[in-house]
Amino acid sequence: MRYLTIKQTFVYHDEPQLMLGSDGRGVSYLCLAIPHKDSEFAYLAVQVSENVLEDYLSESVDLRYVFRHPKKDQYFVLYLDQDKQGRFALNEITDVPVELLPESGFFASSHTEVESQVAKSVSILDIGINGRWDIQDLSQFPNKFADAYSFMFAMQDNAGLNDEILHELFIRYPWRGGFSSVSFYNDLYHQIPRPQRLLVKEIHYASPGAMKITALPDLAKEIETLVIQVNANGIKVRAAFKELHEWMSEKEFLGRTHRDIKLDATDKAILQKACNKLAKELGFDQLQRIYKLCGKDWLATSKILVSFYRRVSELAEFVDSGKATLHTS
Amino acid sequence: MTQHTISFREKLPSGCPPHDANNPNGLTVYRLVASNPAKSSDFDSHKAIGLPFPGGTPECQSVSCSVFDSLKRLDEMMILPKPRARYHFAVSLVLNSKSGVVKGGKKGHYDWWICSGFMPEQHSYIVKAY
Repeated sequence: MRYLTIKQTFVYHDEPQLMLGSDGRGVSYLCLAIPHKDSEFAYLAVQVSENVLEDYLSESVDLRYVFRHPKKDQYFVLYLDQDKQGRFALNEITDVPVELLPESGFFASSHTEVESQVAKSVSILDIGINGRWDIQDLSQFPNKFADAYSFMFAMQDNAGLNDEILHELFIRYPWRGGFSSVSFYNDLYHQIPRPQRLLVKEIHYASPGAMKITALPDLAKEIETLVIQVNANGIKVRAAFKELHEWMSEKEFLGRTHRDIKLDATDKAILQKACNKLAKELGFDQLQRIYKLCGKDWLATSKILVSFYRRVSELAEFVDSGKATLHTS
Repeated sequence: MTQHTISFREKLPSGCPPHDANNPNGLTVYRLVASNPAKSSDFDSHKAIGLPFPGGTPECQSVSCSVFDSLKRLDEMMILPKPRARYHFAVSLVLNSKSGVVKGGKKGHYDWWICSGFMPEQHSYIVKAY
């Protein structure tokens, strides 16, 4: 028999309606007050992994989702008036009628006792929308912004991310085509703690319209600065990109993974110089961090820098064409 | 800090209501009830119903009556299975110094300690049926 200790109440309405507990192994459970023919103190409990709890507390999923997808498909009942020195026996049950589950739409922001985990450090980024956006624009702009944000998050020395994990991620993909970059940026995004990820707060589509997104203000500002720089220094930035990209293309480095290519000293020097030039024209001062995370490999560094430049330049195109404006408040 | 010299509808434990509970000063609140019209028993605390209260919740809270500052919060509570099974209506009422004292929680939830002599069912009107 497992026993549960109550850690905190999330929702109180005449009695605790939703509580967080843990068993002797430290596994977390959400416990929901339920109607019960024999007890006024019955609670339905499900195990929740750290990820699911984080998803729930950050409002990525609602309470019904948590209770419809319990860990190991196990449900338990506990009775709050039957405690043994502050611990409550978890009785496994197999049949859970639908009336014991919450309906859709209960999110952590409705908790009465504990604030939901919304990071205090994030602020609202206003993205102005103008002109005509087609459906691809509406997916492309947020995607590229999320990619740039993820990358800049990883560039912070003090972000609290594990450099060993980042290093493994920076060298994981072969960088022979688009799939590597999509996977790379997706993986980077999932390294960001939930409260600091980009959260859509509001979308108003009109001309002019606006999107409001929560973001770390420093990173949003850095992206805005890079976008401004690309548009202000466009000729030099594009020339630096072209020089690096064409050299890699001529050497047939683009279609091959960095693991398959043995760079000689001249290659390394050329790549280093071209990377420095692109980073300088772009106004990007974290080249050495990419190089470090790439295990001091100039080819991997070059490919990742180029992929980052492409994303910033696509964002810059939105701004330059008047379709979007970035403003951090 | 509020000095509570008033008498309350239910017997309260020592130190209850807490010092940070205040005069509601005309606060409009909403509560889920089982009957239409609301009965006095719809405002009984968990303890007044005669149920022993297990650990984990302050005893003072267990002798309060939960109210919310908006109907929307009640709608959210009705998503949960126990309130959904127990309650069928929402009432609204305005609280003042004769009603008792309240302590605001988060997200519009208030613990309300009701004054003796105040009959909440007479000051409530149904605003929604579920």
